[in-house]
Amino acid sequence: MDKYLLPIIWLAKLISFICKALRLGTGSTWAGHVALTLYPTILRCLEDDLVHGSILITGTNGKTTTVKMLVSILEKDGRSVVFNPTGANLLNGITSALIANVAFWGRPHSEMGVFEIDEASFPLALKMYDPEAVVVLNLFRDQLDRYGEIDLTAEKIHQALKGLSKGSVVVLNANNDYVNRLGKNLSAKVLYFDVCSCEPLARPSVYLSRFKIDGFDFETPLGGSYTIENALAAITVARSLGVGYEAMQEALRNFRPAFGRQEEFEIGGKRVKILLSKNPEGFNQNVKMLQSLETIETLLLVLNDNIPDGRDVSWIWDTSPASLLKLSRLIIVSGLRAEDMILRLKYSQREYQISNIQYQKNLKKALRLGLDETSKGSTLYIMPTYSAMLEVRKILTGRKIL
Amino acid sequence: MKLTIGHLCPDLMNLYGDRGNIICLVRRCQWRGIDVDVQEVSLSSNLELRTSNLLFMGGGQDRQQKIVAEDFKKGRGEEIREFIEKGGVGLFICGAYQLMGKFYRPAEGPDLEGLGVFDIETYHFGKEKPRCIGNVVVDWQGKTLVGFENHGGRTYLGERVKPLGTVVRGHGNNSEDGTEGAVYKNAFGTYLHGALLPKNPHFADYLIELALKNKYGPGVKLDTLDDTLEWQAHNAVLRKLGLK
Repeated sequence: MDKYLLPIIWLAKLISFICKALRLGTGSTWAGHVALTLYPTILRCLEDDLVHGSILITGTNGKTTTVKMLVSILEKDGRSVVFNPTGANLLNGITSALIANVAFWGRPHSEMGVFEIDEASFPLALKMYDPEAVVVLNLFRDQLDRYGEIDLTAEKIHQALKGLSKGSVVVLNANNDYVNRLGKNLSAKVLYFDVCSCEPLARPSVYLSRFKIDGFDFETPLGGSYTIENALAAITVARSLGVGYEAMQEALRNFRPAFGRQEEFEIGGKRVKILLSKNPEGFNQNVKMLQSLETIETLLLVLNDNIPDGRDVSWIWDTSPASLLKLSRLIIVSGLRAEDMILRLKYSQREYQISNIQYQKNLKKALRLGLDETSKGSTLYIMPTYSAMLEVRKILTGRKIL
Repeated sequence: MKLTIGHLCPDLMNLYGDRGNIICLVRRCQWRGIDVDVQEVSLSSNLELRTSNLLFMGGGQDRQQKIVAEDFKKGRGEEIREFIEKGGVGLFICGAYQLMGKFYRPAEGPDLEGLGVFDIETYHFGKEKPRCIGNVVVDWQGKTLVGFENHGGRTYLGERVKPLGTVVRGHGNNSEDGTEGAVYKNAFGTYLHGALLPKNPHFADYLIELALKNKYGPGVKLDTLDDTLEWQAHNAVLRKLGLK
């Protein structure tokens, strides 16, 4: 190890310690940021030290859940894994996670890494090092004011994949047009996962997915067709790493949802389910999943336009929320741009009928109202944008409304 | 009464929720008992534009915009020009607005030739000049229009065209001369997404009325709708920008 590296690791660890001590929630990436600035190749050095290298997972939707699924599987298989916490999916977040993973004298605790990475940062990461495997889940339109046009994103990712050597594995979603095309002209080994090749074993539901792949039955306590895609991605990587099917089955069966992604809380005998809905595709997928319910008692939509959400809320006009109005007894609309979301709901129907919509800009009051209107044993469903999801969780876990 | 909307290239020019404008026009007609039909005019379509009363085209990605520009040289462009010259109503957003201009000059590479409906020129000055991104408020005939802009190109107006309005907040055409959008006869070009029309019901109705007057004569008058929620969203943007 380079003699300058260790002091930088110590410095970064100190920064991280201070951030934690001062409870700076956003501070989890500062350590990595400072380390990368002082020592630009630190990411490669730390990655090199992982005995079994690392896996990078990118895509518009499903990164966090897929990382969590793969980590659960690998841990079930007895491997020690370092991963980045949700939201810290830029280079600085990965670096922070790797720094936290090394002991005082620089030796890593874990043998391998699984990291989610923002689709815009993915090409930058591949310039720094060659991972064992990379996964591209899907590419959808998302926050054009931040990521730019999807054609360009796909092109940059393709160029980056072309630079991977023969030893790497590239795992791609066969059912997403943009991702499917990324497999062309690569030196790395390409593996496709394909939902069409798996047999569904249960009707679509909000609470469970069951399917059969390679002759094995899988079950996981998450709903929506995208859950099966995420699981297939994780299974494909695990299989390429030689993990047995039993470990995969067990890990997925006992899977706990990631932060805000179908995450559930219980409050006073009522359930709250958070379905992160941050772009048209994610929103529509959640709508589709909710259609498997006969009726929704209470639904809370929260639309924010903070930087992590994208400042532009135009995307809501690419969603199809009409069925939510038919399904729900009460829809509460909140958030910084609640007024836009109400308009979207109004214009989704021919006969406009908005008597089941309630406007409550204040999120805390909206949650209170939602819980009051939910009967015992029933579920309040929440579809928030990213920053709104964080706020919702903070209010709920802080129990501020009780 | 019946309004027929021609949606140009909905499959290629479909960025930033611009289809919200179509949804808005359709609903506001339906709510008044006006029959409404949307004709999708894709590249392969041989539909004649004169069967439409209002043309709409939204923004697109660079690659798709090039495909459309190239295709329009084969006759569709001439047809659109004719439609507008005869006083037909058209709304063109962002990329479509640029495409209806004389040309788009990228930082590198050859010009992208436009249709010349609007006497405007658009330049992309490369990465040194940042994109124009953010909420916008425009003064249009003494009333406000609100929306969101996101464009790298900067547009300059010629003599044969008037601006749609003046910028109150945001960048507008070029963030220099305070103009936003362009008007030529009954054709309107603008950078405003949002989508534009749902939050600006007065402008949506203005377009519907223009198109119906073209078809049924100057006596056409639209019924009033309850626009409380529309103005609530409009005013929320004004408040956000400290204008209310």
